[in-house]
Amino acid sequence: MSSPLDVALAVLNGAVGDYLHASGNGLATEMSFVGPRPAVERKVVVLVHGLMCTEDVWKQKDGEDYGSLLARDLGYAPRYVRFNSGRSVAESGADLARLLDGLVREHERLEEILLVGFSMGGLVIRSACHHGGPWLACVRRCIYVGTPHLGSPWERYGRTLAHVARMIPDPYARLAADLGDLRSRGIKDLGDPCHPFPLLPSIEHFLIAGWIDERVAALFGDALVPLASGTNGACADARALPPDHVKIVSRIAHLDLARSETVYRHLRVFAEGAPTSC
Amino acid sequence: MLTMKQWKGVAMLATDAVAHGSRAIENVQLATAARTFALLDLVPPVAPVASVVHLVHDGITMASHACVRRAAELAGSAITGALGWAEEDPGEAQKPHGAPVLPAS
Repeated sequence: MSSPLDVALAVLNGAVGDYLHASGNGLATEMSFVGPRPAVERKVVVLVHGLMCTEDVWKQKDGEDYGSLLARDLGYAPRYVRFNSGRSVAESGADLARLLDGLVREHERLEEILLVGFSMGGLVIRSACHHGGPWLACVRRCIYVGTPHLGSPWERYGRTLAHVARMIPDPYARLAADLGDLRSRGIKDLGDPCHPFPLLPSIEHFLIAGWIDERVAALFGDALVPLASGTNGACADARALPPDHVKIVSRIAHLDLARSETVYRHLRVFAEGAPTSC
Repeated sequence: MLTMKQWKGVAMLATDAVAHGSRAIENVQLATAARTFALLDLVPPVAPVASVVHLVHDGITMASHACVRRAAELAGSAITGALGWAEEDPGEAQKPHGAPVLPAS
């Protein structure tokens, strides 16, 4: 369970974490596994949170989370990642690859790693897979929950606004533009309309996206991630029939995607399947 | 509870925030004053005096902000130093320094 201080540090890291890391500031969060460490047998589920979050983002009202539910239903040992979400997605991906490398070395009997990423966490997983390593042989499936595969329009709006403010010949407008540009590399990466690393063909990828209101689902999706971005371009219309590897949850806000019973039902179906030795 | 490393981080962050904030405000103040003095420069009777006042204004502004930044830097270094000193193991600090005393043979 994260303390209020952990949450405050997560927000600070998300906002200016790249600067904290580059300046060697003690407030910068190092990527690590947090929480209880259950005995790892054959299967591990690794959960990666999103921007400005901690592992508490997964917690449901009854105290359960996707990790504990997958442990109960399918026998996965859950491991929760905490990281500095202000660093670039590529840097966080490289860190995650190193962390998973250590996990595989630590548990020689490990047969399967299931990767579950929420929002930015999904992009970090994509980058980690691209970075690769011996652990990649254990990964059969990746599940992305509310991940902006085609970027978030809000970051692009912010980028445009800062650009316009910089063009106004006024010192206060320039100050506003400078303040806007203080946001972290991680936030700026969310504006990229296409993730630089393609989805690896050797892994099965499953996507879960949501929308709040059907009429504006294509434009706003779950309020932060539009439907097209959450489904990596597979579904831009809420009424369209999604392909088998994509599930769309209706009337759900972005953060609720990380702790929803409906999402878990889809996630469990995606997670089920015979593990293969690595 | 924050660790000592994190407290040092807070001091470092506060110092940097003051330095960057002071520089940003200084730029706004200088740019705003430049607009006003540019208008005064267009009025022939006050133009010569206005340019002198402009110079003095800019000098005082820059000196004031430099003082703020220097003070913040010193305060940051002092706090970091104090935290480093407090972090030291008190038991370690009480141990005698220098060569060990060998027993007489």
